[in-house]
Amino acid sequence: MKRSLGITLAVALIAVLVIVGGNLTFTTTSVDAAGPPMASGPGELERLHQRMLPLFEIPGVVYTDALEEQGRLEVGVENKGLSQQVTKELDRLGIPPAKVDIVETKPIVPVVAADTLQSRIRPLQGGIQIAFSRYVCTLGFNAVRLSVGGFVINSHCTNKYFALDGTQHYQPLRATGNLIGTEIADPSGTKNGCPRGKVCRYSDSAFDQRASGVDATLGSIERPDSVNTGSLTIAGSFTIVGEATSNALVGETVNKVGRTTGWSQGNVTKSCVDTGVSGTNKILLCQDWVNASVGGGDSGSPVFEINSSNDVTLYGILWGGSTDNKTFVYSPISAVQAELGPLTTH
Amino acid sequence: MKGLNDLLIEVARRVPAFGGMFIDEEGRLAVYLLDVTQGAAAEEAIAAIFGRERIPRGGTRVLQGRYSFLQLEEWYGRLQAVFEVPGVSFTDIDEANNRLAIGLEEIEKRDMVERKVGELGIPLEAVQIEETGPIRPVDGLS
Repeated sequence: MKRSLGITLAVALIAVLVIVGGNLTFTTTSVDAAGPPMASGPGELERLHQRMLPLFEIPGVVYTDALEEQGRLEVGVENKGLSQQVTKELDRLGIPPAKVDIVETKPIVPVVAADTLQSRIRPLQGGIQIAFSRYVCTLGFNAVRLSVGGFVINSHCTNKYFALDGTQHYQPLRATGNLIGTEIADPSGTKNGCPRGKVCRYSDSAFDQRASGVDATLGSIERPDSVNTGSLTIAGSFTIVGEATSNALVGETVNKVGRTTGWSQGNVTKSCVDTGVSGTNKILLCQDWVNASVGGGDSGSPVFEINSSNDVTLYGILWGGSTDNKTFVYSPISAVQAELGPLTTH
Repeated sequence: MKGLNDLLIEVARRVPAFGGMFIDEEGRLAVYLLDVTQGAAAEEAIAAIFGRERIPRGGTRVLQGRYSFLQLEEWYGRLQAVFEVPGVSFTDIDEANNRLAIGLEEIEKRDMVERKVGELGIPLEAVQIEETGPIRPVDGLS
């Protein structure tokens, strides 16, 4: 059935601003048998169609339409019990009810675009996009350190790797009103116990003090709608209920949530591995490797084991990956706390 | 802070035949032992050090080990020096293979690394060398 471009939706009047980017779908079921076509031409049909606008004052009227090919008008209603009220109103508007088909249709609801890991998210949670300088990373997890509320990120997601420089972080992107925190802890590396010519740390971590007026949910990590699909659509939250006391064992299954590749899950393939950061003189000691997807921007992703349903144990913070994006490397939470000091994470 | 190796050393001090452990594909805790009759003692030590909850429901299974964890740890202390060879991506006590492991960004550096391992007095047969490609920070451009 060819519909005119002039179809008018009730929701268009009340919700057009919130359905931008969404989809509208509906099905119709005829209530009244179609009557004869109108004798008048398309101009007259459209003129009558425009006069139907007050029908939307009746709750449950979904749309009106002028069917050019059939030469008839149509009114969509949520239930056929409204037919009598619609017919009465058509009479009042001077539109012959015999020329109008009333059909039952499902209500049309706005489909609001869901938040993703790259959206502006408040209160702050783990796994969402942050920005600094020209780069994007992932917020690891909210925490309280020395009575200061903030969040843990990668040291390399600050302006100076392994050095405190007061980098400001934004969410989701650098813009006025998006400031979420300022780096206040980022230990320097050590050469003690480190291979000659190298600088070592046990974790790629730094701590930001949360900006005033920015809310955060302690213990919360965003939960995308599916695992190992790359989906960034947020469908809920994981809740941190504990922290691992050491590295994972080879063969254990862990997860990460990051702004680029979403929720990934895989097995630990190497545990407590001294890992050289390619292109630098830095070595991260006793890190864990996982065979799961990763991509540029996932730096800082919280790594955790799922206990049951949404309850998780925090295992660490992701910082690196292989060039084929099939392996990620993370710093254990025990190492993060050894370097940043005790953290309350839930 | 105690890393995994520190905890495994504690197990090995209680049961010197202990060679390392990992979760196998069937979800069991696989334990390397030089003396496979030491299974019960090893399980007891693991529970004491890691907590009984770290032993999976599937239980444990014993694998014949070749090197004790204490021996691997002693060699591992020396192995750090291989990072002086450009392009080494990692060093590890590989608990799943009862060996040491070295990663290279490019396998072409294998000869240099093997020479270095020899200089360090570590038997080459105790070391597995693999190509990993570079391991890089994964920040992204905005």
